[in-house]
Amino acid sequence: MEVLIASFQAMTWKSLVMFVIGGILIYLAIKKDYEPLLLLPIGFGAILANIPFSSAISENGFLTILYKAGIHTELFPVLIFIAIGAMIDFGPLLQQPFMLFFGAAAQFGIFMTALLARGLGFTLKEAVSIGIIGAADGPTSIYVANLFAGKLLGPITVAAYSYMSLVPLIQPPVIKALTTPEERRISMDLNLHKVSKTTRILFPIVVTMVAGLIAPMSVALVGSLMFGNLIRECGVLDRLSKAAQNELSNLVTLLLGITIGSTMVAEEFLTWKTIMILLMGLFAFIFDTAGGVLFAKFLNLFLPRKINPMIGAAGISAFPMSARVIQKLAQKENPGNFVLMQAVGANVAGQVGSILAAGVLIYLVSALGL
Amino acid sequence: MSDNMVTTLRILLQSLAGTFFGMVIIYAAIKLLVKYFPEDKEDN
Repeated sequence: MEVLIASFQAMTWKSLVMFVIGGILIYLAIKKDYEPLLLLPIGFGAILANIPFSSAISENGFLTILYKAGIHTELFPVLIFIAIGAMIDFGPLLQQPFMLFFGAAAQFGIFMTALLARGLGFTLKEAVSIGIIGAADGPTSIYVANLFAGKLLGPITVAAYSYMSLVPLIQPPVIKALTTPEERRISMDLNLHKVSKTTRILFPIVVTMVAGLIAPMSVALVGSLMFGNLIRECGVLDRLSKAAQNELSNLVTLLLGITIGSTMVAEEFLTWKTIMILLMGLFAFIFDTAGGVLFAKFLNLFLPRKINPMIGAAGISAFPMSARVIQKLAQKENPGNFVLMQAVGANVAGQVGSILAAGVLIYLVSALGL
Repeated sequence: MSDNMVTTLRILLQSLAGTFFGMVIIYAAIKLLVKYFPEDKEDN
């Protein structure tokens, strides 16, 4: 009889809180449709990890094996990037390469948040991992956190994916606070030139080489993203492209979520650090948005033909949500205004910018030898 | 190198500069690609 009630006796209030947190994540995924592909498996993984004596996270438990094979080795984020690369159409960016600079400016949140985290007492490696939430890119956050702050992987991932799903709520008030209705009504050029197939094929190869030479530590991320894109654009690997977009993406997402959830063990998750990380994640997204908008406004001081500054906010890599938010805001001010192509261009530039920023940061921090 | 606020600030500024530098190079690369490989006959 004692054996049967041993688990109940081993339960603590912390385990119960983690069950509630797991339940909330599942609720948000199902009822609110907040990143259900990730939040539901994460929520369930958190429940599995907090059942006393859980065989799922024992030495040879399936989640332990998945963690060692997929997260510790960084394999899952890299595989996800192949899938994302196969899904992204870089056409709008190739038509307006200027949008790349918004993809860099909207990484401002990374730097502000990392600085804040360091000021709050986190180590440099932890601060950088928390700052990367501002990349608005789940796999990049997982990649960096696992490299520099494995113990913070759970809260960082939850923050990254939660705020990505909340982009439609976070960005509009920040944009409205920093722009005037006249600025939001600025229309953009609709006559964009066509991009040749050769350019589309060469783009992923060139970006991989450039990013790799600037930040060798970014090769795994950029290389996998661009490999996926090359499969998509080459025109002779449709089967593989579809497999990457569907089967690979679905399978890895499924395993990634539940494995991340398994790291949310009460003793490590229920700390002040987690609450601070969740708050700083919000801070990161707000500063990303502000950085993009203010950079566009700065450029408008010099440009003969003004840019709608809201497009700067689409430079975060929460794709394609951010671009849709910007288009919606533009049409609210002027129903005939169509800025979606420019916003999508900035949005995919954000994908490149976030990986590049992460690669440069990994390179610089690793070089310190701390 | 010690883990302090000055080091953090230096690293962050360097990475911000590195990110913009990378984007400038990629921008130039795209401009060259678009210039030397305009619409080709295979495109429909």
